Amino acid sequence: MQVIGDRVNIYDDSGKLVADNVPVEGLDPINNQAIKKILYEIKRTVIINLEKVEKSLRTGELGGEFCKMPHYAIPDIAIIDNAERIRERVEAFIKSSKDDDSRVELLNGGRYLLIQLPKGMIDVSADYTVSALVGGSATVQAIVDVCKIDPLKAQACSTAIFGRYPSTIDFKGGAIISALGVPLRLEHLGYGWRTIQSNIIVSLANRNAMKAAALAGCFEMGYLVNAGNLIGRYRRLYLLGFAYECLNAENLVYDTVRATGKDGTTGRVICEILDRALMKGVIKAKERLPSGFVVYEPVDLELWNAYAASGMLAATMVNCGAARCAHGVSSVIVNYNEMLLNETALPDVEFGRAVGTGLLLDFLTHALYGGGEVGIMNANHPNLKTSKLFVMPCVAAATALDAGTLTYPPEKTAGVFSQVFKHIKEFNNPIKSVADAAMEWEGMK
Amino acid sequence: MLSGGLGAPMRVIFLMSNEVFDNIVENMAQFVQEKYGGYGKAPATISTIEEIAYATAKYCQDLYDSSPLVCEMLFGGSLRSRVMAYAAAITGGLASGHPVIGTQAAHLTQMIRKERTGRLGFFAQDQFHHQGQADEWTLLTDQGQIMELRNASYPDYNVVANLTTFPCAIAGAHIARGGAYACNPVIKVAFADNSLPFDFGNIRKMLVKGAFREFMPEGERDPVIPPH
Repeated sequence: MQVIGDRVNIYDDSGKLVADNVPVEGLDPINNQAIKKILYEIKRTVIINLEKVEKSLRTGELGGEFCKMPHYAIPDIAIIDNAERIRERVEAFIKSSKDDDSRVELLNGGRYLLIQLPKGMIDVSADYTVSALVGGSATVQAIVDVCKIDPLKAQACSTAIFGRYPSTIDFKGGAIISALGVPLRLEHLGYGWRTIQSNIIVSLANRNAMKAAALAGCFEMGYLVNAGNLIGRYRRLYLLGFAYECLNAENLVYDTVRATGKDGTTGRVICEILDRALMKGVIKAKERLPSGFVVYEPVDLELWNAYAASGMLAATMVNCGAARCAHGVSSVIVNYNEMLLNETALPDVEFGRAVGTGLLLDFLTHALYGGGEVGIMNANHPNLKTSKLFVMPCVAAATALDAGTLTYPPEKTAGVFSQVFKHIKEFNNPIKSVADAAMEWEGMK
Repeated sequence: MLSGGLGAPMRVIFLMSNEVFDNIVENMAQFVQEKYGGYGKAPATISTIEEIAYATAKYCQDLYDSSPLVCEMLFGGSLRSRVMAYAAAITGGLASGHPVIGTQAAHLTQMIRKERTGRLGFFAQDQFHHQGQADEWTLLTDQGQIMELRNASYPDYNVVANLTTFPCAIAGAHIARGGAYACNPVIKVAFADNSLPFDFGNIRKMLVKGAFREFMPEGERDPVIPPH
């Protein structure tokens, strides 16, 4: 495989150096154990909303809105009260050996059932639906067994959990909560890792903007590997972009936010980035026009793109952070890139893809189309899919900085994810973990 | 037929614009003949893209500036911008015989228009043109398909009003190459049948007949349409 020789110093979300001279090759998901761990944990995890299952079965409201079939109702079913017995039963179904890495736990006082499949099951899976299907099936059968459900009503338990599936392509109206969307909803092949909502990423990162950006970057890198887009001419572009924008390489994002956070604007962020890029020799002045306008050009195109992307994240954090509101992220993306382009003649982030994505994001969330919201966006969306790495970290960071202006905030739609991985260091501190893993990769070579 | 403020009129701009669009394309076709000595003779280069984009943008914007009637007919900047982009797409294809030259010229006309008159009120329409440079010179697996086989599901082009840019560029390039068909001979033969109720040789006329409720399909739909 083509080897990228670049090295970076990586700083964490408090501006502290966590690893120096990190090889960017080690940030490739196939080389990085921390990213692998993050992706593995997400892939094998499903949560069953037991409270919803109980309500559905008690009322006969199965399969989503407007569907009510009282003849399937089991008014006295006690799922929450029997949650521990159901959990034990599910664990017995799922465990492949005594010391495998499966995990079955109750969350929120038994309202949610967390199921993580053992590695053996993931190894034989053809796609990532195995977690939802095995976890859901185990829970259905556990409820039928523990609650001694009549055979004529057992299928109602299945519908309460799987919703309208398999008549629909997803679990519409069911009680399955998964970070990943279903494969049949993928916009294109290899888009599995792009289905994770901004709200879920923010919950995983415990509302830390830079950690949210780092996790969003890890998922986008996973997509790039899957889609065959992290090879050849694109490899250095995306590896450097990931290192600088998502992992705060050279403290660029942190320093810029610190310098401009108090009273800065998008324009000031651009000035900071340009100063750094000039100082490091990433760009240079090409010519001065008679009007006095200086035309710049990149000395190193991929590295300049990484600098520009870092500035875009910094501008997002400065603006959305000042407003404590995620809604402005699309405007920041548009204005940052347009201003950068027009004031310097340098290429904007991802050569037009970021500004284009910002324009449609604005349209979909806040212009006449409306309907979408920043928190429920994911990179599998027809809009966000067109930027391959650089926009989703900004959307996630903006969501993390929101102080309650969203109709669908992370706590409402994805709060349970903040508990699931809180003991895993790769989720607690993704920047440091990924950097350390890159160093370990080099040591093992 | 023209429900909606922006989406639906975009689809039928070729019907609404009467001869304005035709005249612009005819003028630009003449430009191609004079500039390059015939169709398909321009080099497929960035310079050609720039020449065609600037020429089309100048002609269209001069027309809009000089004729309030045209502006009134093509009401709204979005419609006027579309006419400009589609004309550039056809012209680029005609000049070079390659559809990418056409779509790239279309993108550039929109950047020129934006510099002159500002962004369109309908922001998302610009997405296609901002990303066009990156999206059309790419080998990314989810974006690197040839023009002739793209459809409405292709990334970025599902946005209202942009889809038509493809067929414009493809048709222009097809004419310039002088081939018997643009992509698939089977489709060409199947829809060239004069006995079809829908005359694919005169699509505009057929659509207008449909708008007037004068078009009557035949065949399998007979049981569900009025007696004819």
